[in-house]
Amino acid sequence: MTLLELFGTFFYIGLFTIGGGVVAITLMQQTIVSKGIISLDQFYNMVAISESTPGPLGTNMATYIGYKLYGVPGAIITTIGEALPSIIIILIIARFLQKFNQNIYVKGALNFLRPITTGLILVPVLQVFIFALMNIPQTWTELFTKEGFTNLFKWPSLIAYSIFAFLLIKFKLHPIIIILLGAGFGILFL
Amino acid sequence: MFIKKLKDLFTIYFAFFKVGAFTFGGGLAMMPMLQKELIEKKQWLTEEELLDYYAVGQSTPGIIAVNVATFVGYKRAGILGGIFGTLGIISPSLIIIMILANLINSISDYPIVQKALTGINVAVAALLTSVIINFAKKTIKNVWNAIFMLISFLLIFALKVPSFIVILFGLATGIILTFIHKKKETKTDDIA
Repeated sequence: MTLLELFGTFFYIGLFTIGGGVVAITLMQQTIVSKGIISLDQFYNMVAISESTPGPLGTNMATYIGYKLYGVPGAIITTIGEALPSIIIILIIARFLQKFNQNIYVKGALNFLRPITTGLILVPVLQVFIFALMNIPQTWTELFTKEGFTNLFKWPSLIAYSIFAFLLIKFKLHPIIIILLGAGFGILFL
Repeated sequence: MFIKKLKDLFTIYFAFFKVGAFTFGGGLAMMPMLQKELIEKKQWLTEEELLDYYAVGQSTPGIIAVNVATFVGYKRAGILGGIFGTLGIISPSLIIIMILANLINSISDYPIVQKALTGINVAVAALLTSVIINFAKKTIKNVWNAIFMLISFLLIFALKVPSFIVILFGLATGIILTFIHKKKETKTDDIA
């Protein structure tokens, strides 16, 4: 794959990613892994690392793949290629929104949409909550055994979570401080 | 004039650089940083606007974080602002991944790194909880709002409906309802 093809591939990935990082990863697998450019093992390794380093997942993956294939120029090409469709499309929409912001239908539709967006955001929030703080048993019946119930929550994590949430809501601590506290909690207690 | 514009653009760049550098996970994970940095501190936008941008970002092509950065940047300083916002949010990825790419296979094997990351997940859960509370405070003002929030949550969580479909349906319904209410010349307050 040449640099130009690489740019085209990631432009395509950016263009057809609707709904976030997971979609981008599926597209990357279809375009990069299935062509044998990167092995599946290596790819999953990259996903794990991209998830655990700062930055949007899709951007991290693009940078990583580009860097593996062509070094620094590759990383820049893939990352910009992936972001370019977003930039173009959003600039058009933003222009439209700014123009029609006061339009009664646009206003009405956006007002109506906000609670729906809140519900939509609740889904990944709950997923992170379950992933970080709970052990979901294999079957429902396990919940009613004593062990299944006591193991339902990762108790130390749940306690840390409650403290963090309290600090955030009560004292409006900066997210960076909470992230650092989380890392410290993990190192000391997990 | 030119200097001031340049200064604005770099303020946008560094604001999003900071957001990108402390976002762990997907697009939603950047919400706590956006709320703190852009809504509370800089007052560049409101909770409602951020929600609108997120909804649009979720239902249009591209990485959500980039979509939101482009939106906010554009609002602050036009097309160049959108571009600088995007460059800001992708720069930390570029720098961090390129530095770590050669080291990380060995680094992530250390138990201490694993433990820190597990702890960061707990922190992210708490951060997102405060984000959802902030949003709900602004958007859930009556029973109807709560019902629509719940319907949207259940459609996506239980029935696995793709979120962009829920958003597009919501937008269409919103337009139709506004239209009906305008025709009736009644207040839209009770539904919107």
